[in-house]
Amino acid sequence: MSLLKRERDQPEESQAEKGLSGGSLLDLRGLGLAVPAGRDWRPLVEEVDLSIGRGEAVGLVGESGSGKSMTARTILGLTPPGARVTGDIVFDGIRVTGMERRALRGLRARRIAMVFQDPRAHINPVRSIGDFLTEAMIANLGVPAPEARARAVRLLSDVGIADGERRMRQYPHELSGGLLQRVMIASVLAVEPDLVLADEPTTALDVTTQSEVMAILDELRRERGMAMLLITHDLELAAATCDRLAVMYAGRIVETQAAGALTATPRHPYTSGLMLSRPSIDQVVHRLPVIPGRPLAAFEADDGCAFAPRCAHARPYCADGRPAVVELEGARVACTRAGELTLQGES
Amino acid sequence: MTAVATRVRGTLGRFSPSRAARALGIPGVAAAALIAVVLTVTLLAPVLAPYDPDQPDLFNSLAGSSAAHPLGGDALGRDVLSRLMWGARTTLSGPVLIICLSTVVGTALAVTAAWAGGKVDAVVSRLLDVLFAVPGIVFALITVAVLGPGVTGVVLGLAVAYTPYVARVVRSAALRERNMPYVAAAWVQGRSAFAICVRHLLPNLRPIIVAQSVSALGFAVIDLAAISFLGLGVQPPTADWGLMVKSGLDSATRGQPLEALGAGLLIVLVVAAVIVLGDRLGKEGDQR
Amino acid sequence: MSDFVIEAAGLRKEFGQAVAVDDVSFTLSRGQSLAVVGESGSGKTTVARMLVGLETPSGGSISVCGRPRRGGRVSSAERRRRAREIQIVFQDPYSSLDKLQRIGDVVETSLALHFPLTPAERRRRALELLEAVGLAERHASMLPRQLSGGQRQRVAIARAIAVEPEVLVLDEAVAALDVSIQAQILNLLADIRERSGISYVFISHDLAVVHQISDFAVVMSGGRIVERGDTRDLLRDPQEEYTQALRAAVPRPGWKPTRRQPA
Repeated sequence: MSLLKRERDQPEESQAEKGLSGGSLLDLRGLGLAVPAGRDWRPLVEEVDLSIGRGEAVGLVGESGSGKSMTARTILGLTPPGARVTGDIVFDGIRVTGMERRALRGLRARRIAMVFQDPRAHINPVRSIGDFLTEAMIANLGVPAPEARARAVRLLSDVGIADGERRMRQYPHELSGGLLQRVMIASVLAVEPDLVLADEPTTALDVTTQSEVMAILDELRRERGMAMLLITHDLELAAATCDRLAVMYAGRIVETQAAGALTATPRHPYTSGLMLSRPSIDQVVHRLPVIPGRPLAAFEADDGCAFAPRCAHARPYCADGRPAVVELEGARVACTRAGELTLQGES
Repeated sequence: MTAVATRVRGTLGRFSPSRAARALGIPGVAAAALIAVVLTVTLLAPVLAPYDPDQPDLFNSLAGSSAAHPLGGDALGRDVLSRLMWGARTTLSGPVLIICLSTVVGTALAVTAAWAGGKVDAVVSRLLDVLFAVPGIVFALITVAVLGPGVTGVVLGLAVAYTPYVARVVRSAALRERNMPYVAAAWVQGRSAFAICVRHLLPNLRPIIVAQSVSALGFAVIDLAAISFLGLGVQPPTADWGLMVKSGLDSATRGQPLEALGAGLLIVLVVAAVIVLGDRLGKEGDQR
Repeated sequence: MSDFVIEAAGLRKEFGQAVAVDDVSFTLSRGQSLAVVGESGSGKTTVARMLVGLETPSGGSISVCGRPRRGGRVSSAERRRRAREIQIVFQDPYSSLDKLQRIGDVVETSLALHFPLTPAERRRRALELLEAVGLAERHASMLPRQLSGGQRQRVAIARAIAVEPEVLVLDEAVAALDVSIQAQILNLLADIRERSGISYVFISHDLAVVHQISDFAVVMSGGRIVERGDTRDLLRDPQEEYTQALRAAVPRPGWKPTRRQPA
């Protein structure tokens, strides 16, 4: 169980351990997602390569339209109607893409779980918290009902809800958003999955509640050796809670690096711009360094580098074709100029 | 009010038949086509009708289908086809008038209640609930009792009866719209309540108002026909589908079923088409 | 004229049994930016709505530009005069514009209500205002749905400053925007303040944003002000436990999420 004691601040060591643990848990290879638009296809996600090791936490960061949420949903087969998935999703050595619905459901029920942004929309409002928590254990894991209830109370206590017996009898509308999100996390823990997909789990919460919910998620995930894919727009939050970060723009991953390295020495101009344009609690600048224009979705991007029109470092040749992904001192960057640029990270 | 005119013109300006057809779907388009045919025949009745609808012809009395009279004649030998064509005018103009009145009054009440809130809203809502609980026929009977049998009394009575049908739905939509931040912004800008209601709320409520009035129109056709059938609405010898069902039943027992069948079938078809269209318009409104 | 554009004293608001705002007092000087910071349920939005007259205080007083605001019914002329003192921009850029109203008309309506301009002058002024918030002439003929969230928020700002108010209340005005757009709008707001000397009341839950945009801040919790002061001092060295917890919860370099005592 050396994985549990791993320090996040030492990416080299974690890389080494990942090698020992026998490759990655989840592998996305050239993943693409397109939805029908008239006679054409409208791409939402393109050529996403991403792997998550056992017990590893990876942050997938991006603005609206970047395709980060769609990537996570595609892993679970929660794609829009008529959508076309290309590339491969390999989970624990099994190819998930093209898997039949039944098997995919089994995978979803036991090995991959999802925490959504709005727990209220994903928890049945007319059933009690107890029913919600025990349902999956009874139906999917075959746990007897009394034992399931006892386990549910223990899980609630794990996520910091002390009077579990009383909470089990309550209904979703009686709980605050923060408490409900903890119930959601408890329900995820109930099936002890190998991978948790957390889609903006704290965006709807207050900052103090966010801190607490992230701490709970982080702590319990480590204890149980679960891997996590955290989808968020908040780079700082992802950097603080994940081992590695992937930054998405216009449906593609533009940069992947260990969290600490990415914030210190970003390799893609978008990553750097995103960090610098966020106001800081420690210092005030006369004017924030901005990225001009607005974030694009994959289908809005021209042929060249999708970020080039907003990029301060763009050259005319950036419009010629998609930039290839290059390896650069442990980073994977999709920028033609990555090698020659020195970009500012967090101060 | 010029603003409303501009808004309406603007909406029509963006109207495209193919987009409308897609929004309505096949049932909606079929319903709209049927209504269009009925309306055309109604307007062109003086040209299209082969005979004077009120001209008795004893040789044609209770006659069956023939080349000269495709739907035969009624008890007095009047041409049934011509009477159906002319009858559409009275049968449809009454409900249209009823719905115009109840839509205007209902929308005004609804928007006033939603805007004012509090006691005004409570009073208006209770009033609408009470009106809604009373069947339309009862109102029509009351006004007929006061004004005597005839179209005017029935139209007034049914207009009152249909007011809550429009007003209740529009009120809840107006309440939702009234709480939108853009309304608050207009208020903070210093716009008058009247201007906000007329220039912001009404245009945004238009799809719901149209959908609700159109489906109410279907029910008004039935109600008015039923009242004419009872002998309290349209008076003979005017041609009217409701009346024709009544007199046609008598003829049917004497071997000429086409009058009652034709009038009855037209009522059913028109009502069904209007309700389908109203439903489709409502769905389109939801998507906006 | 008074030195203060806003003086709020002992503000209180009750909704039925619940007390949303309790004994809130603050002042805002001309050209200054005041942040009202708090989490959901702190009462900060209710304070904003009382300032612009969307809610009537249950107690206490508000003076804007030295004139006390009395509650109850006011004439339309008085409402328009108040409008020229204080305006508001809301959080959600999608519902704060009428989806049927063209962008140019949004700003022109605002101008027509307050200034005696000929249609041509009004048109020209509207385009100037759109340009001032970073939009182009072609946007004037567009409908809100044709614009992005950030662009809509620019329209909402143009509509508010068209009236040339003394104070602009920004109720979580950048909270719903993408990070890269948020920075653009914050810079735009800073530019507008520098050019016009307008004052801001900036309602926000986001301490980093507050740090960038405000001179002074009050921190609200449970309807009351728990701490106040110069924004930089307040955030560098918060005195109250609540403000400290709030600050500690902001993700930043080297930060780790922490658990409080089990609830």
